[in-house]
Order: sequence, then structure tokens, then C-alpha cells
Amino acid sequence: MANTVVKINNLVKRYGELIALDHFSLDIKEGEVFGLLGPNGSGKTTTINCLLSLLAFDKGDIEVFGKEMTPTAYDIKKEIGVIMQNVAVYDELTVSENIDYFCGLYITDKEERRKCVEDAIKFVGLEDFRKFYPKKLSGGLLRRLNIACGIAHKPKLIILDEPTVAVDPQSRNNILEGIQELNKQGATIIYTSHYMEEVEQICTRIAIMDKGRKIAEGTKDELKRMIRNTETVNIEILNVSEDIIREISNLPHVYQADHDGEKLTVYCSGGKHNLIRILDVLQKHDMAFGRVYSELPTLNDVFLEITGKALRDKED
Amino acid sequence: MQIFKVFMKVLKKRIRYAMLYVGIFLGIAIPMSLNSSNSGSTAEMFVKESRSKIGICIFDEDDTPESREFSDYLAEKYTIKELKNDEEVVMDSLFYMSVDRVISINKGFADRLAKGETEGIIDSRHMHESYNSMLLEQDINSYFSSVSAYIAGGEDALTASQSAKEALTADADVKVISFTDEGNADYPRDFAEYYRYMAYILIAAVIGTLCPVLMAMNNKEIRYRTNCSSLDSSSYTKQVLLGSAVFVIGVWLIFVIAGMILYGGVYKGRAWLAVLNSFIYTLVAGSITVFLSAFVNNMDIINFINQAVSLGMSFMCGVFVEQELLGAGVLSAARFMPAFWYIKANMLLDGTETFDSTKLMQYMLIEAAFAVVMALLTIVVSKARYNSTAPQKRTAPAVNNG
Repeated sequence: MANTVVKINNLVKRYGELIALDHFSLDIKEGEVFGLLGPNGSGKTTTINCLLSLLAFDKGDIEVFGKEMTPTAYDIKKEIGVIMQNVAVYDELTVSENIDYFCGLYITDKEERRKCVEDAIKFVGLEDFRKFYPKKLSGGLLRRLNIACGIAHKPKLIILDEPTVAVDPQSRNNILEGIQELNKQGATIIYTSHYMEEVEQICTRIAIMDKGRKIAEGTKDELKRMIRNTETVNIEILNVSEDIIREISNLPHVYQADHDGEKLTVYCSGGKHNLIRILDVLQKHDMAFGRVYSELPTLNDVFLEITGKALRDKED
Repeated sequence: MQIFKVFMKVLKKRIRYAMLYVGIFLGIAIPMSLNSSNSGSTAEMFVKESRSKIGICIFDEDDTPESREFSDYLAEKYTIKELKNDEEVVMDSLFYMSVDRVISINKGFADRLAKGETEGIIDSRHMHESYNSMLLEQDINSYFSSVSAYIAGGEDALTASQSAKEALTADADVKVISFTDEGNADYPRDFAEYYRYMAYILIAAVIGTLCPVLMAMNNKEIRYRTNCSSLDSSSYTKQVLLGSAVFVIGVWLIFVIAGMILYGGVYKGRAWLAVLNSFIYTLVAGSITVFLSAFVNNMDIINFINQAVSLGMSFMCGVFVEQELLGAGVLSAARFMPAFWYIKANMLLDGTETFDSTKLMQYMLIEAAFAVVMALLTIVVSKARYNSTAPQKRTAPAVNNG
């Protein structure tokens, strides 16, 4: 059985009246890509800050690599790499100088550091930009530099706090592929995001947070199994009578059917051939319809069903 | 020493600003210091310069040796302009300021002067009230007072006029003489000007250069990343402070060495005390900079504060204008600024004020106290900022918490 890398037990963090973390517990095993998913303000960053001992908490315990995490636990910090949402590099230093500086915060041996810097540059594909200053780099390249600065010292635990916010799709894919590659190389990853697609794509296990509490935890399949919905069928159709909607609602495995005037949405729970049965009903009543598509549940559905609200705002 | 090295690299990118300050200062201060040795103090230069710019016209209707003495007296101080003795021409000239004042020496000037009468012996016309008119009036009054005094002493009007002219003209060339000639030889007043101007440039150069570097080092995201690392936080603070100290002392050394060239060799006697005074002031400049960087993170604001602090303090504390020319209200306010005490110490050393080692020590200690207060304020501000940012991301400040 894999070792526990991070163990958070009953963590409570208050800001006056506001409870930022409410008896939050977590176990992250070695080799996992662990996703912390939740809307803005759910407590993801507070969890990370407490985990890194940058923030004092009111109650609970945090262990990293089996040792208690404290602000002066430098032996533990040595094994952790942090990549934040905002790019944190010196404008006055070149690409390689920046990586060397941040690597130097962990590794003092020059020769070892030189090798680590080279590896990091190669890993993020910045070989042609070594002498460039950050202001000369594009947004995507800057993100790569940000990642290189966080991983150059080859940490065993890498924490990424919303690293893809405001990143273009191509760079986002590069970042996600890079994270998976780091995981393949043996690093345990903690990935916080409010983008469910990313979390679904790369995380082996996920904890969903809301209002400082963990509301669900498991693999993406486990999480999806926690909810009633297994399939949502959407049919573009006009003028559907109440009788037809009732008939569809009464089909086996269908637990809800709604029509908004243009689209019929049918929610199914388990079962097979749900789509065929629904279309049979429409044909029987000689109803003309347009585009038909079926959707599997997403983590947003999980969040929606558990909390009664969407995981992220529409503009996100 | 990873942090120190990066500090130096960041500083290297900004050092040209400091060098610009140093270059401009040396380019201006050295010629000014050299010039002041030939021309007396700034106040004297100013008054002398002002007089020479005042244009006056004299109509001598008495045309006696006494009236000519009076005309000569004014001619030695002011620029004499010729005008046609016509009312319209005179009024136009005054209106268009081609002359500042028109003086008519009335008939009977010599006779009445001999009797000790000075009222109504001349007519003086001007159109615009100014500092210049007051200066001229003051000189005329002084002249007649002196003549009256000589006459009262038994001299005839002509001799009295000659004596008064001689005395008052000689008086204009009097320079402030040191009360302590012995010590002043090591720190001549003209050279002291250089150290006086240093009060401005040290603050301007240090804030203008070091603040952006400290701001870069204190960048919230970078500090966050640094705090996550295995680097001891106190080590970070020490290395940043070391870097700041190296820069500040480096700038100070450049000025001290440049001063040595101007001085003409290794400093002697009191000049070393001036060096010590400037060193303490350098620490004050450094502490102000560290304080500013603890809570300001915008370059425009830093530039604004830099101008306000360096220029404001220099004007109020006697760097650009000597303290003896400043109003009592200004000086009272200036007492709360370190430059005031720096200049006071410099005045003790150059002999403007009687040298008193106890006073000197006191002034330097007050300067040092400003540095201590700034350091304490920095700690308070940093802690407050540290606590206020805690709800988002707890990134410790560079200076006290590391």
C-alpha cells in the first residue's frame, strides 16, 4: 500500500466569524494526482496555505511525509514544490537565472543545481529562451518558466494552486500534460482548481470542497456514482404536450423530464437504451425533432446535486 | 548567499539611476563648492547678485561733491541707467521696468545734509514693490544714518559722506568669519558646502535606487514562493539587509572619496567628523528607504515620495538655502526632520556656529534616533501588513519577519 504523503486531520481555520475551513480532513497517498475542486472561496487556497505552514490554523493537525508540518520544518519544505496561479519570477533575471535562483533556495551545491536547472529548462521546453528576460516571453512561455521555477529542485510533492487561470487553451494543455509527466516521474501532485474538466482529465482522486468543508471525495467514477444521474438526454423539439412529457417521465430509469419550449431534457438513473426508449415515445406520437445528444454526468453535476448550486459561475 | 546575489543582480539593473544622481550631483556640487570659495556665502552671493540686477537712474539737481558722493555710493552697488529728465520718459521707464527706481537729488542737498537734515533731500520714485526696492531703501537709509552719525561726530558733510560711503561699501564685502579659526582650517566653509548638498543627494539617490530593488525583493508572489522554500526566513531578511547596507554604504563612499578629491587629499581633523556626520545621515537615508518599501509597492508613488522627501527636506532644513535665511516657522517644522540636524552639525563643523563637541554629539545622536525610529516604524508597518494580508495569503515581509 502506498505511503501517505499528506495527512490533514480536522483542520479548522477561522477569520473572525467566518469559518474558512470546517473540520477538513484529507489523506493523499504517494504517486497520486489529487484534485481539490471547489468554487472560488471554498477554502482550497486556505487549505494549501495551512498545509505549507504559511497560515496559522485554529485546530487540527497536518503531517507531510509522516512528520508534523511547521513553519520551520525546512526538511519537509525541501521536498515540496509550489506553483501558483500568478507568475512569480524576477523581471531583472533571465530565464535560467530565475530558475537557478528558486532552485538555489533548496539546493546549495552549485553543480547539482546546474544540472537541476538544465533538467527543468528541458522539461518545460525553454531551451531556446535561456537568456531571455521574462518581459520578452509570451504568456504561455512565462507560465512554463513559472512551473520550471517550482519544480527545478525535483520535489517529491508538487502543489499547483490554480495554475491555469487566465491561460490560453494550448498553454493549458501543455501545463496539464506537464503535470501528468511529473507524476509519471514519481512526484505526488496536489492540484487545486475550479475547472472541473481539468480535474477530471488529470486527477486520480478528487476532493470536492464547499464553504470550507469536504463534501465528497473519491475517484471521478466514484464521485459520479454518488449521484442519481447517470445520463442526461437532450432533444431539440418544439411543442411537446404535457401528456408526452408525463409518458417519458414514466419510462423505466427516467426520474425527471423538463421542456423549456425548445429543448426536452430527460434525466436518467442507471439502465441501458434510455435514448432509444425516449425516441420511441416521440415517434409513437409522430413528433418531429431536431438534434439529439446524450451527456454523461460531470463533476459539476455531482456538485450540483450535493450542494444545489453550480460548481462555477457561467463566466468561468 | 543566494538572496544577496539576486539582490545585487536586481540592483545592477537599477544602478544607473543611482549613478545618474551621483554624476549630476558631482557635476553641480563641485563647481558650486569651488565657486563659493571665491564668492562668499550663498546669502552674500544672493544679495550681491540682487543688487547688481537693480537698475536705477539718478538726477543730480544739486551737483555738489556731497551729492556726487551719494551718487557714487549707489553706483557702486547698483546698475546706473541714463534717462532723459522728462516726466513722461521717467514714468514709462518705471512702468515698463527698464529702471527699478528713479532718484532725484534735490537742490540744497549738501546744505541740508550739513545741517543734519535728511528728510526730503531726495525724491525716490518706483512703481512696483519688490524685494529690490526694499533693499535699495535700506541702503539709502543706512547711508544717511551713517552720514548723520559722522556729522554728529564733528565731521563736515563732504568728509562724512566720504566716510559713510567707504564704511558701507566695505561692509558689503564682509564675510562670515569662523569663530573657531583653528578647527575651521581642516574643514573650510567652501568645502562644507559639498557636505551640505550631500544631504539632498543621499536621500534622493538611495530612495530612488534602493526602493525599487526592495520592492522587487518584496514582491508578494515571489515572497510567497520564497516562504514556501526550505530557506530560513531570518537568513532571507539578513541577506536583503546586507545587500541594502552594501549599496547605501557604497553610494556614501563614492561621495566621500569624491569629496576627498575636492578636498585635495586625505581628510584632516574636523573633516573626519563631517564624514561621520554624513555616514549617520546615510543610515537615516537607508532606514527611510526600507520604511517606504515596507508599505509602498508602486513606483510612481515612490518617485513622488522621493521628490517630496528629498526636495522638501532640503528646502526646509537649510540644504539649498542656508538656515539663517529661513523663517522661524520653517525652522521649527524642520526640527522634526533629520536633515535639519545634519545641517546643524555641519554648521558647527564649518564654523558658522561656535564649535561645541557636546552639541555636535547631540545633533548626531538625534540623526541616529531618526534612523532608529524609522527601523521601528518599519517593523510595526511590516507586522501590520503581514497580519492584514493573512486572510488571503500569508506572505511575510522582507525586513522583519523574513
